[in-house]
Formats: sequence, structure tokens, C-alpha cells
Amino acid sequence: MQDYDVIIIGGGVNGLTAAAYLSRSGIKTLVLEAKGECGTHSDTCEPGIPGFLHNTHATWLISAMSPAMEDLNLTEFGLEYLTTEYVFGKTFLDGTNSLMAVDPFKTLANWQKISEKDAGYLMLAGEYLITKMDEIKEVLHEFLAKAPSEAVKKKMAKFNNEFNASCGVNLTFDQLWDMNGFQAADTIFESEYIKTLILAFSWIGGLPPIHKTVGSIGTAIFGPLSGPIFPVHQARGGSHALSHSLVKAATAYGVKILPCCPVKEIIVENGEAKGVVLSEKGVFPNERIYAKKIISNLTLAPTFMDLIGEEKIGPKMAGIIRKFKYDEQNIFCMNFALDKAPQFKSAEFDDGIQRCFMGYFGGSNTAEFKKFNKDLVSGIIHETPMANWFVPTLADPTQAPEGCHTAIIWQDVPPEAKSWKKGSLNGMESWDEIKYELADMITDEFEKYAPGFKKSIIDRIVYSPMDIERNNPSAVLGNWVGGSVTPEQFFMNRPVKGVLKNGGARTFLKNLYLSNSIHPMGATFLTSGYIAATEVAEDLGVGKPEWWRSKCFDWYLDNINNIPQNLGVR
Amino acid sequence: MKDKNYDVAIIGAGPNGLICGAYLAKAGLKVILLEARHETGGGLDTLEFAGFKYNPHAIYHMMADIMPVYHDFDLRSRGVKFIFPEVQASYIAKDRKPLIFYHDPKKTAGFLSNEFSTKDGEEYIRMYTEFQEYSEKILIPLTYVPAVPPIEQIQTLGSAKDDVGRRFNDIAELPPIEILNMYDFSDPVKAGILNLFCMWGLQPYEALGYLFPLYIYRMTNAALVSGGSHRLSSAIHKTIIENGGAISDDSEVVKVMMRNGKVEGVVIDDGTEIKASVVASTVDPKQSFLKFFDDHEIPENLAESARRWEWEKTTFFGTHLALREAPRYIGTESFEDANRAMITFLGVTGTEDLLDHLGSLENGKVPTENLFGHTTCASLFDPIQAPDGMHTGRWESLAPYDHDWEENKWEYARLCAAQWKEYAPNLDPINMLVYPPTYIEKKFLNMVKGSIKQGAYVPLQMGYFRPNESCSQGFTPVEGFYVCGASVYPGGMIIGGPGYIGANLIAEDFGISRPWNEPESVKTARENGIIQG
Repeated sequence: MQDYDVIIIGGGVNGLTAAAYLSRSGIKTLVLEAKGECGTHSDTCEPGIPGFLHNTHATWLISAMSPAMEDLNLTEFGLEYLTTEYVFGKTFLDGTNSLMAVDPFKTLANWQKISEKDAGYLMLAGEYLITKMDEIKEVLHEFLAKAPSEAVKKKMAKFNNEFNASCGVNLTFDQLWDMNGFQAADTIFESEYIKTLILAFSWIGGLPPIHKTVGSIGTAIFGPLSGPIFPVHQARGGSHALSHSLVKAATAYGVKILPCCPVKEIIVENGEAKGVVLSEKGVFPNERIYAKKIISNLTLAPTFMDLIGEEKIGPKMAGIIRKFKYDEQNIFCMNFALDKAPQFKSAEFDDGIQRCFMGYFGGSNTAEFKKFNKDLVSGIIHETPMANWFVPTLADPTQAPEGCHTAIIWQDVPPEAKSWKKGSLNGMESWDEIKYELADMITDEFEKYAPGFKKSIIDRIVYSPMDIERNNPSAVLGNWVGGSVTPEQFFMNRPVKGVLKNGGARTFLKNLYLSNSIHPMGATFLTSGYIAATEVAEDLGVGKPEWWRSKCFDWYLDNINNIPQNLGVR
Repeated sequence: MKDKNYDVAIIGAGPNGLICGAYLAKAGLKVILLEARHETGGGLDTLEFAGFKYNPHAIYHMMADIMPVYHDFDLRSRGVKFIFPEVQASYIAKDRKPLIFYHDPKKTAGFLSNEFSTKDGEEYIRMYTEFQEYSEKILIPLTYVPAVPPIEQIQTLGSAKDDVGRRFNDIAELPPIEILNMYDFSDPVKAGILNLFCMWGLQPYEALGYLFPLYIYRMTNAALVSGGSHRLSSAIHKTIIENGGAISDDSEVVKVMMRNGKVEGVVIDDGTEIKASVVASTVDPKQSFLKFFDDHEIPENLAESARRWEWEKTTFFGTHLALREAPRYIGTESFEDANRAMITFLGVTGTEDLLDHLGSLENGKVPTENLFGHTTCASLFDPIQAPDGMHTGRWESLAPYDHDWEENKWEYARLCAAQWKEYAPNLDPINMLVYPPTYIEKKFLNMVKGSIKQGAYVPLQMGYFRPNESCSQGFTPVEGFYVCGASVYPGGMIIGGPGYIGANLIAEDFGISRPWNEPESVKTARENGIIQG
């Protein structure tokens, strides 16, 4: 096979993003995808009754904030976002709920029923954000789409200090950085209903509250911005439509994409990546392909331990990489086909919950959250389910036959679970045995919040961390975020100290870059791929073409009013 | 899509729509494909779930590397790898040794001579040689040129330079069972051969003899696509994008727009109007003529023929398993090859039983005892279709559509799996997907009643009559409206004929030169007088 300028290992959304940017810049680019279909973690399939589309991985998409939207013209390649009026809801057993809407005034109306103080915070926050939008965009672009650095952190600090001060919160960014999510929530909010709303949201966004920095950034920044500034979307036709649009864009810009081509080796000579060798399982067995630059869109450990090996990277780096953690951000997933949408008990309190495609049940106060989170990091499946739910069809009715709906429930679980209900478990091996029983238990719990739910189920697909790992071995332990997001694996430390050199994607091996496991983290920002493309283009001496100029949030803020809310209706 | 003006709008992005679109985009026309589902490829469908790949529709391809699109677009370099398993079919029985059909006919003949009778071996070679000749000289080239009226076809073949035409004319109108009876096979060999044809829901007594040689020849030369059948459609899809074509998913066409008696474009279900001077439909005649047009817009006989269109009488029930190990069959201790077949047939014991079974299916009976299943473990040949060391297993059996499948699907799937396990005792699935006839229809609007070929293969719906006399060549009485899906000559089953013929016709009607050459088999057939002109 001919040589390329750049080979990208892995056609996930970040690999495709990097490929499209590079190829459009005139760089000869090849994407090698191990599976049949690109976009493994932005996937939609029909494993049950046809017509019910199940999003088995990414479900709420945040790509509308990405510079790729405009730079790559993704909407021209069929990508269409939809959402609901309310984007996140916490529903409580006492019949109340707390909500977040795209329109801050709708959020305010809900919060006013709960806590005057927290509603007051929201009002001040909104005022600040509206007046400073351009500056905020700039800071967030630097934070999300550039290599993490002290300089970027300083800019974030400046923004956050001003923001907190203007909202009447007595908290500096340095203090925040040293807090966990629970402490941040206690400092900013009064009501348990609001605290758990924000904690649940940032947690399901990949930022567990139990950890310092990670949890507090989620709680104090990511949470309050979501909806009006930070996108929460479905793609028309399911999350795989994002992958489809990236495949089409990349192909149109000249990228060659070869599916069913797992890589078995990255050729490294004298500390320099030179090319790849394809697996004998794939369609071009044992083929060797050379390139000037290699980007791995696999996660950290498979890239270095499986494709390169300790003898090439040395025992010190091998030791660092082996310690890279994958055991948080692992979910147990259930996809349901329903003959009607869930009816929440808390709709009497605020019927916005019925126009909300995503939310959380369980954990009525921070104490319960703490206990659940503590169990999670200790390898225990918590006794009482607490989980995120989605009803994608409230935003995009095309994902189910007319009048029908789909729902998804994700519960955070320890992948190598040691115990459940006081009995011991055998880690990943146990999932095949316990998955249906656990699914029943979580379903029973959801029924308490949405009575009648169980009766509406016409099909169910259960997807455990074991299934997720089988589906994508690069998602070690079924981890969905490219490696746990803990303080040791966050921001400037990510993926883990010592791996990257001079930037956000360049590794310690010459000509080898990462577009997974790096900053900001997995999820559909598309900015890991953007960062990798930026650094590769720079190192190949390619100047930025005229079309490569969009900033994070540009597209979203320009188009927010055109995005349909509720049942795909504009 | 922002752009709403095209030269050609193609309805349906299944194999034929994609093929048609690929050629026309390459020819420089501005093309858009409109697909009702969220995914293109139609029956070239591979479901990837938890590391296992399942092919609920097309899985083995009779015309794999013969399809012109494969060569014209260098699909091999795009990652389409056809795998031709050495053992194409095996029949497992409880009370006798397995029956094996190899890719290599000499090997099959040798096996039959050794394990059944010398006569069976000799007859197999005789039959195979004749069927191969009919296929290569006549049936394959005819798959990639427009339909010819039957009388004309008989005359052409009768007066061809090569006398194969006259020999073929002698059998073309016979029912398959009569053709098979011309060879002196013993049972179960005879049943095994007949079943390779009837497994597709084709009738042994219908006068479709001309299909029989092609099916038998090609069903022992069939291939799997590495990574699953969807890889084939996905590669064609990318060629369209590369050549500037557009593909719009989730876009169900509800109407063809007309202006002054000519086609002007289409309307999709969200109300979007797309302008195009040519519209090519790859969906069934009922949608093409009754849904897309108002009665007054098309000739009454066209509407009438669409109203009379018959769906297939039998369809399929599928059960798909995630397996820790590949199935090992009973009675194969001395016949290891029987465990390495692309298709393993269970339950087919003899010709009489097979005919009874087909007859009872025809009468709408749901088999509940001694199910005739055909199974495939694609990961045996293509490990990429399952997680490391594991396997994906597919069961299919013929079934009538009319039954309460929604109510009984899981129970029936368990029955199928139990039957499979009787023949493969090591079967121990960790996951099971069910695919009853109703799912076929739910997934594909044009496979009504589970009609995988978009309409029955019966004499009045085949050849020059598919879908009717005035449309079987691809153009229709409506100016600018073309048909080129599985319901058009030469038919379905991923043979790549209708889409290819349609593209040639449309390119010609646009008056543009075609940047591709006629297949070699067609050129040769022209030289031999098998094809006129």
C-alpha cells in the first residue's frame, strides 16, 4: 500500500475530525478503523425491533460547541441537532423536580419554586454571562481546544473570579481548584435539590464530584453554563449521525478511510514512529504502511502497551502508562423501546420535566451522592440505583416509530465490581451473569419516579461494561471517556504526567500523537482531534488555511435559535 | 441539505440505489440519494453490537466479484474483501454422515463418489459443467444488460453462434425439479442440490428453470464480505461522496413531482422539495407507482399492474447468537470439513421431505417440528466479526409471513436455537437477537410481508415482466422516471444488476459518455450472438 503523510489509527469522532482537518489542509491522510463502522462511541443501532434506534454510547451530544461545526461544514454533510426545551432534570421521590432549560428564564422559573437564594445566583450568573459573552467564548475556546497550560489556567481563573464575584459567591478559582464537587456545591448553592441537579449533571458529563478539581470544575463552571452556552443535543437519526457526517466530510475532503483494518503494531525505530502494521484479522493482513506522522485515536494503554510494547518505550514509561486508570466513567446501560413516553410523577410540581430529554433519578441529597460515589470508587455496586435517564425521542421522534419512544438509563458502576448486595463479584467476568438482574433492579427503581414505565416497555437491550469493552477493546474496562477523569489524569496532567511533550497531543515518541485520552477528555467535544490536527499541521509546516478559523461556541451561539426544541419542531 | 437542485434523485440507498448513484456521480451528474432509514445499504445490513457482527439480511453473495461495480470502482482497494469459504455448504443429519459441497467442484465430486456413490460424483460434475456454461455464457451477461422480450430472447439464443443458446432454450421454461431430474442423483444429494435453490423461497414447481443453473452454480461460489455485508455498501457509499454526490438519510420520499407530464423532482416526508430532471426509484412497484404518483399522472395499466404486484409467499425467521465457541456438529468426527461450511443445513433429510416442507410453507404453515434451518458462523472465516476468540452465529429458516410473530418471536427463536443445539450440542449463547419476518418489513418499507426480493419470483413477475412489460428495461411511461431496484429485471439478491442497468440507461439518456466499460462477459456474449447489438 502507498505511503501517507498522516495515518490515524481509529476512526472515532476525534480521529475523523483530525483526519478531515488535515486532509482539507492538503495533507495526505489515511484513517484505519478496526471495526466495520467508524464512530464506535457515537453509535446508533437497531439490535431490537426495527425502527427503534438505540444510542449505545454517546447520547447527548455537545459537538455543537466545536470549531469543527463551521470549519468542516458538518451540517452540509447531514448533521442536524435537536433538543428539548429543558435539557436536564432531577426528579425526586417527594414529587418535586429541579430543571435546567436552554432558556435561562425557564430554569429560573423552576428554581424560584425551590430556592430564592439559588434562583438569585442564577439571575446574577445570567446577567454576567450575557454581557461578557465574547470574552467567555475566548476563554472557553482556549480551555477546550488548546493544549492545557498555566497560561490557559490563568485566563480561566480570571474569568471565574470575576464570575463568582459578580454572582455574590465568595470563592476564588484557586480555592475552587482545590475543592471537590461536593464542597463547591455547598459553597455556591443552598438547596439540596439544586446541588444534586448540578452534581448529577456534571457527573454524567464525566466529572465525578468526589474528586478535587475535576468535581469542582464540573459543578461551578460546566453545570451552570449548560443549555444556554454549552450545548446539550440529540442528532437527528441518532448519535451515529454525527459519525456519518464526519465520515462524509472526511471522505469529501479526500481522506481515505479503511474500516476492518485493526492495527497490530506501530512501527517504531530509534524512538521514532514510522508507520503501522495491520492485523491479520483485517482486510489487508500484515500490510505495512508508512507515514510521516501517526495519530493514535486509541486510548493510552492500548496505544503504547499493545501496539508498541515495553521494549520500545522503556520500563519507566511503561510503568507510568500501566498505572493509567480506566475504572471510573464506566456505565451500565439499558436501552428501552417504549409504547409511550415516561410520565414523571413530578410533572405536577413542574411539567417541564415532561419536555426534558435527559435527567437523573435517585440521590435526593448530597449525602446519598457521596455514599454512592464512595461505593463506586471502592468497587461496590450501590444498593439503591441512581442513574441518568434519557428519552431521546422527545427531541427527535425519528428515532422510534410514530407515537413510540426510546429511553436509555445509564448507571455509573465500578467495572471490576467486587461486591453487590453484600455478595462478592468477580470483576468484569461477572457482568454476563448479573446484567439482567441488575437491569431489573434499576428498572424497578425508575418505575417509582415514572409510574407506568415498566408497562410501556416493549423491548429492552442491556449493555454492560463487559459488552462495551468487547465492542471496543480500546475502551478498556468499558471506560467511555478515554481513561478516568481524576485529578492525576486531568487538564495539564492528562492523560498522565510524562506522556506528552510540548503540547496537548505530541507524545514522548517522535512523530506519534494522541487524539484520545488527551485533554479535554472523551465525549463529543471533537476538540481532542482538533488539538491533534493543530499540532500535526504545525509540525508538518502547513500554515492554517483560510477556512480553519472558527472558535468553540461560534456555531452554537449563532444557531441556537434554529435548533428545534421538543419533538423536532422548530 | 441546503442544495435542492440535482440532475438525478434516486429513491432508496440500498445496493441498487448506491450502485446507480455511484456510476452516475462518476459520470459527472449531480446526484442525490434519498434514504428513508438512518442508514444506507438496504439488505447489505450488518448490525454491530457488543463486538459481535450480525448480518440479518444478505450474508452470502452469489455474484460477489462478478458485479461490475466491484471492478469499476476498485472496491478491493477500499477494503471490500470477499471471502470464498472452501466448504460452501454442508448438510448435517442425525442418522447419516454429512453431505458436503465444496467451492471446488472436483472436490465435491470426489467427496460424493467416496461417501455416497460414484454415480453421484459423475452426475455432479456433468451438472456443474453445464450449469457453469449456461451461467457464464448466458445468465451472467444477461444480468447486466436490459431485459429482452421472451420471444426475442428465445430467437436470439436459438440462432446464436454458440449452440449453448439452443441447449439452454430447452430447459429455460422448465420447473427446477424437472431440470434436476435430468441428472441421476440419489438422495440426499438431490435434496441438497434442490435446497440450494429453494432456500431462497423459490418454488421447485414454478417455471423458472432458467434461474436454477445460475443459483446452483453461484451458490457453490458464494462469498462473505469481510467485516460483514454492510462493508460492501459502505464502500460504494464513499465513492458517491468522493465524486461529489449527496446522500440524505432519514429522507423518505412521499411523492414524485410532475410538471407538464414530466418528472420535476421529489418531495420528502418533512415537506422538502428536491428538484431533479430524472428520478430513479429503487423501491417496490406499489410505492413507485401508487404512492409516488396520483392515479391520473400515470397510465391506468401501470397502476393496475402495481396493484396486482405479489409479495413473496415465504419469508425468513432469523435468530442470531453471540457464541463463546463455534458450533461443532454431530456426526462430523470423521468429517471435519462439515464444521467449516459457510452454510450448514439442518433437518434436510431427503427430497420428499423437502418438497413436503416447502409445500406446507406454501400453505402458510409455521414449521414447529424438525425445523429446516440454515446456519452460518461467519467468524470462522472472518474473525473480525466477533470479539477475539468468540463467534457470531446466524440461524435462518423459511417461514410464512402470516402469523402472530410479534407475540411468538422469542418463543420461536428459542425453538430455533434448541433445534440448532440438537445438531451442535456445544451451542451455548451468551446473547441472542431475534429477527422475525415482521422485522424485515419494519426495517425496510419495500420488503412488505418480509419480501426480501421486493416481490415474488413467479413467471409473471420475472424477466421481461419484472415489474411489468413497460418498465422492465428501466425506463417507464412517465418521462424522466426510471426504476432500477430489486423489483425490476433481473431482480434482487444483491446481484447488482438493476442499479447497473439503470445507470447505463440514465447516462445514455443524458447523452453523456460513460467513464466505464461493459463487463467482459457481456462483450463475449455479444460476440457469440447471445446478446444482440
